[in-house]
Amino acid sequence: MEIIYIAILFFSFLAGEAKSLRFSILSLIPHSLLIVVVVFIIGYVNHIPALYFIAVLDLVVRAILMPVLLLKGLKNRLEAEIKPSISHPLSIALSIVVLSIGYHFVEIFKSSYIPHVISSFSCGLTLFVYGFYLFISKRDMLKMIISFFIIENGIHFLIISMIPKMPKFIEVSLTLNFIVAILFLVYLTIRLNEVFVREEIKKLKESNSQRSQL
Amino acid sequence: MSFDWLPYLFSFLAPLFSSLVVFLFGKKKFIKESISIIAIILAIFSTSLCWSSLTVSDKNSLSIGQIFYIDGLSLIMQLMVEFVALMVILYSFPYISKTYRHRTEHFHIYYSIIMLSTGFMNLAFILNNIFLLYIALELSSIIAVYLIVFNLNKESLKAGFKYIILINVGILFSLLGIVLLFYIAGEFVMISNIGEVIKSLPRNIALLSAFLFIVGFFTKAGLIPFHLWLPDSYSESPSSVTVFLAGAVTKLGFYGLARTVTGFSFNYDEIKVVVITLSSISMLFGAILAYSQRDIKKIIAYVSISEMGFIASALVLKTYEGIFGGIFHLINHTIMKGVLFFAVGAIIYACGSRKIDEIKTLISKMPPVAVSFFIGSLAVGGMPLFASFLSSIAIFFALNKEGFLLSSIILVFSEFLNVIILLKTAMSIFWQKNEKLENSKFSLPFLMVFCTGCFVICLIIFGIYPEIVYPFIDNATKGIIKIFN
Repeated sequence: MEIIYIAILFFSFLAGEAKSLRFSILSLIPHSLLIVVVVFIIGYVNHIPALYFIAVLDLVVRAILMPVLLLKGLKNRLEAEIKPSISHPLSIALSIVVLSIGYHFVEIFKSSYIPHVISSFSCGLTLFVYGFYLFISKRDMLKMIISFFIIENGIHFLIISMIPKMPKFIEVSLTLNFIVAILFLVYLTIRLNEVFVREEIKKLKESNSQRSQL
Repeated sequence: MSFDWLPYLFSFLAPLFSSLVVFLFGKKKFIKESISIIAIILAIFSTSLCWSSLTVSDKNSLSIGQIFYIDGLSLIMQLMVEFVALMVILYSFPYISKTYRHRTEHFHIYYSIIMLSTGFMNLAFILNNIFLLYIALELSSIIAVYLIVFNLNKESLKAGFKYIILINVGILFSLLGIVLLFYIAGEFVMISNIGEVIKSLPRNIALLSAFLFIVGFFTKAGLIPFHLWLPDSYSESPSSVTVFLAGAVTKLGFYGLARTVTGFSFNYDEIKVVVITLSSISMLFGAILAYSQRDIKKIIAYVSISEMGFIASALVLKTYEGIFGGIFHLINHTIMKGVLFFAVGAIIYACGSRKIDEIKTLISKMPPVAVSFFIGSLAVGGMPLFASFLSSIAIFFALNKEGFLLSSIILVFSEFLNVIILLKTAMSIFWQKNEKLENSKFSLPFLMVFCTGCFVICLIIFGIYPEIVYPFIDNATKGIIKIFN
């Protein structure tokens, strides 16, 4: 399991730090697929059949629907990320620190204070913290949505590890909220991209007409 | 099985159902407005029915199974949201049809979203399970973004994006707090048992959960330093929507605070100190930031942040007077923002601009708007004869009584700053030497004047005869104290 958690954190690192937005979004697919695998294994090991349903739901929503929606947000824009508020090399270094040291500390905290939670707790909390770091350091709208996605996945993991027998109804409602939020975010991103493109075309036309007048 | 409780649920069922009907059939003339108004009246009727049952019961609360928990706070919040929704719908009728003519095809969705959001808010106010409360609260906030971006221009889209991403990330902190409470309690945490759960928590866990709730609900309410979404969202949305945001949507944050953080402050003084410190920062910096704005809606938005600091600081006080003052100011804040933003809506309707410098040159004579704006400004300053005077003074004394002298001084000082900036704005717009202002008169649609007038009347009546609202506030205060004591 430990390997899978580290792989999840690695893919979230790729999603957070890749300069190409398409690559970032595609990195979310293995990230989410591994989450599905973990949820399924937790359900199997702890004999909680309800988690099988949650794993299927995660597969549909987190691994398939969300990346497809996010890819739609790339329409009418460059695929390179807008320059973040922290320079790229420094951000990579900070990400590695947050993910590796953060995970290590959370593991120690978990084993000394809350040893009864399921092992995915440390991964969940690290994802939450890392997602939040990305959220405050990135300025690109799609990167902000990706960081929200990572925070949400972290919370999802935390819920599963702390309250594995959570009623399905609540898990489904939380996922529904998540879908609605992402839908609105992607819709707004697409509309904003359209507006930016229109503005660029207008500027280009104006400069062309000025040139022809000269 | 008895279904006596079914009428109580109309407070959220009617708006939710009407939202669907308006979405499907609202394109036909007057359907959207009439269905929405009928649904809101039904909701008000249902809340009133619930209120009469609550006053008969000697327990200060009603429980319907394990799902619903209704007390004075739930009902006061429901009534407030219903009143605001009704006014917003009536105001929108003439306002958006002129100002947002380019979106005529989508007016029915606009009404549908207002009803949907109202329905989810009313549902959130009566849910017992904190997880479900969170879900209803988040849904009502998310869908409100459609209203913010209704204009679909670059600025409104940016404001909408900021709103939805910041609210969503912020509110996830409170979800984490709920998960932590659930884990420690080992069972579902309900509004009805949250007091006992908080008392049984280990100190460190309690402080951590309280911190998470503070981040989540402060973001929802738009208090400094979690306010980044608020000024842009208020200024870029249609004025009717701004009233809905200020009078209903942000109030969900205070509802969350009153249901969770108040309980922690009853048991841990550190929480009280943290919240009052953050609230004092909001009071002071809200007022200071308002000074540098040239957009009239942004000025009121920052003044609103400042005032919301009063409410947050009062809600964490242990005394009856403090919580009473907080809830009273919560109501007054809704009414004052209703007056000011509706008046600004009328100015935008007449001039087509929010920038003070442009308004100065474009404005015509509009006596009802000028009077309303001056009344709203004076009320923000907590002047005698207005309801806000009573609530501010109650909070001032309660803060003093619990030893927060500096915060009470900041409260008075920021109120003073707020009234100065609003009066200065009002005078620069309405008392200037402008030929157009002196000679031409602009007649506003009746419904716009009526809705602004309704809020003004409430402001004055609650100030002169506060006995009208006292029983409601008393019941709500007792409801909060009952849960946590």
